[in-house]
Amino acid sequence: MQGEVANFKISQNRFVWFELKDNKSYFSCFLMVFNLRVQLEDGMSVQLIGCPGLFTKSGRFHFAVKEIKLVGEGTLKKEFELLKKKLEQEGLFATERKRIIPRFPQKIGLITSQDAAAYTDVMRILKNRWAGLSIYFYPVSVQGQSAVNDIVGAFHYFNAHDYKFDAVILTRGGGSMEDLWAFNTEEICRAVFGSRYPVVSAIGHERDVTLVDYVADVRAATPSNAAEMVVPHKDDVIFQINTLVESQSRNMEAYFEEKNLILDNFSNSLDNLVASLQEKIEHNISLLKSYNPRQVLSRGYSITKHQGKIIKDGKKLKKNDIIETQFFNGKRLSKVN
Amino acid sequence: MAKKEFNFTQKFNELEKITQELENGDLDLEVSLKQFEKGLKIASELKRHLNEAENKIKTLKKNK
Repeated sequence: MQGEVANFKISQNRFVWFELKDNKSYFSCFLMVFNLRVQLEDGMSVQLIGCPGLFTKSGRFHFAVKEIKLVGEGTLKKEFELLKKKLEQEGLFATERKRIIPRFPQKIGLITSQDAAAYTDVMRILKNRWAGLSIYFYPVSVQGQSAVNDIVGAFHYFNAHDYKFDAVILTRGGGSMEDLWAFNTEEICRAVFGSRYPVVSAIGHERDVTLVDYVADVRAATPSNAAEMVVPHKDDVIFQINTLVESQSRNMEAYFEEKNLILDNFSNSLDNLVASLQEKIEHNISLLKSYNPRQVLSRGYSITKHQGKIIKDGKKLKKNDIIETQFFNGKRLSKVN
Repeated sequence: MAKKEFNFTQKFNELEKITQELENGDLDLEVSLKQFEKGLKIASELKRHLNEAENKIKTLKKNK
């Protein structure tokens, strides 16, 4: 059945009532609250799958709804706003719970469809930018109800295994609002919210914003952009490494220069010490030289000896004593008279 | 699994730490030289890893 929702109400927090109408007719519809997967509002276009039911007490017929599909862009937009408001109030978009992706990821999870260009894009960028990654790829359908089930399943699977992912990329390529609709469902939003690992979402193109993007830890514009946001570029990191090494070398050089300077200073003061010692020695030598008797003899003095002893007192000599006179050059013997 | 995984983050952090130590310059000559050599070794390991390591892809089975 297809039509527009009217007189939507929930009673006792358990029973959902509304009427489906078209230009000519109304039909009462009923379902339990826990089966209501979308936010309904009067005026929305929906397709319903279900079967006729009968309330035996009142004898009234109704349509027992099993599945609701939203139809038309206007309805989808309205649904988007309703669910956005609800999830926002619950705190699913809170910025303070957004997690940061480590700067050098080694292990990541990838949830997307294998056939999609998104898969190839992500893989290509990851390969170009980074090395040695372990990528765990969980293939899912990315459209319709099967996408909802698959993606919720993928997050449960990742949560249940201790993969220690640095990040999980959830992505699909562009499409119409209806194509991307799975990423606006409450189920997938909650699955992303409940992810054990930080989630990077990239759904559709730059202009497409889905509710999952609000919940994810990081929102990327496109699948390629998601890969760029998860890993750094190796060229940048190599540059960083080289800069670190250069700084190390510079510091080592400075270290040696500093030690050299200390050594230089030491040897300079050693030189000074030696020089002053030398000066002192030379001074002493010339002093010593001046005490040398030959120095005195050279000035015309002479030494007189008698029997090998130096005579300082002339009165002690007797007549006929033989004395020896030492000159600067040579000796002479003489007799005292 | 048997082979120990190359921990890029850990090595990079170590390189940064050594650089910082040498910059502070409070190590004595022998330790400085040792750390400097270690830093050079880590840097070349990191670069080799970036240039040579391949990304590994493991596809998980869809659980129905």
